[in-house]
Amino acid sequence: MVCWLTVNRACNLRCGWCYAWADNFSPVSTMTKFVFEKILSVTSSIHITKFILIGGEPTLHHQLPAMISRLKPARVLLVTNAVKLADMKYLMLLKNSGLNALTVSLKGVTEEQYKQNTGKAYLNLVEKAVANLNELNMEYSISVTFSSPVMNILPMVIDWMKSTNAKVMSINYCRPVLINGKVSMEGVPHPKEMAQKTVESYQMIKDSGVKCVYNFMMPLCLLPIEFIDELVSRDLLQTVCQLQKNNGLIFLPDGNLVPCNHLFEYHLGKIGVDFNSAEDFENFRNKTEIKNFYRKAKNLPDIRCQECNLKKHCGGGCFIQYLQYDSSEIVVKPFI
Amino acid sequence: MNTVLKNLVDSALAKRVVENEDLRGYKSKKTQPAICDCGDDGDCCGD
Repeated sequence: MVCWLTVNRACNLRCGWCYAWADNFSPVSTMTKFVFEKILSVTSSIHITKFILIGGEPTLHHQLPAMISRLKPARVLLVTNAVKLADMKYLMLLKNSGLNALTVSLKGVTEEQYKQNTGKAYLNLVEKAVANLNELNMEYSISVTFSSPVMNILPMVIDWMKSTNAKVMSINYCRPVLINGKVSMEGVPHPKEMAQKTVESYQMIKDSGVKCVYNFMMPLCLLPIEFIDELVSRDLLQTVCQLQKNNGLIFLPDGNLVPCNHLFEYHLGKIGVDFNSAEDFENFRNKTEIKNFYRKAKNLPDIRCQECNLKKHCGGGCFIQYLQYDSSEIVVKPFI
Repeated sequence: MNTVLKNLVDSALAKRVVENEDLRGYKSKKTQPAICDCGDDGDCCGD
């Protein structure tokens, strides 16, 4: 089991696509020590192998080093924009607290792009952070989200990776977001377009020597089978999310449990209200409505998927896509 | 929870019409887990 702790909503950037806008990046939405300890208490009977600390921007949480220490001996990972990691002393503090690895979310590869996307000209700080990560020999990857603008600047991203000596990149795919109860598709390319760009840019990335892992949470049949085989043979493909596997727990700063980071307003239950002890939490997870929720998320979106040889590796992809699309629009054909 | 959101999510879930076996997914060892991917050791495989 993996547990995501959303430790805050505060952020030092203002990315246009971020789901934290809905919470207005509120510095008030910060996980207290009480909630943090309560989460550890209610999940104490579950074997959690990894904690992933996310935000907002988790490095803005004053207790982050203490939280990391407290979570050991589990593996602890951090998802960050890395701006604060330009401070070598702070990075060393996190490392010495027991931080195992990081995912650095990259927002632009020129200072102008970075400022345009985030409101801040902080790319120089991110570059310093990457140099610090290299110097401390820390495990990290650079995460890039395939949105309409980013798809078209991939060669620049690769050049940036080489110039900063960052070795591993992961590509995530933009999905619809829910804003004020409506599905927003702004900047979100059609899944078929993202799949096509993935295939088209592959050789260029391969030739660069940068290792690029594809977090492909869309129907696999959007890709040619030969391409899937190539990625699997080179250990570059990730599919199926925690929601489809029911092996993740995601807690918000206020102790609400949500099914997915993209569905942060969809509360399954709350600490102190729906569960207060490890036993309560086990009973809560065994409730019919909770089990049914996860069972449906695991199901396939199209009758054609039933005969597909890759269905256990795909499951039709992230169910958030189906807020916008019917399966007939994004499921192409089964691999038989 | 607001009912508009609940209805939207329930409607997307309702599109998962076909019962499926447990999912495994491909798992790369070359990267770190991010916002969505589980990155859980033990029950993922690349076969």
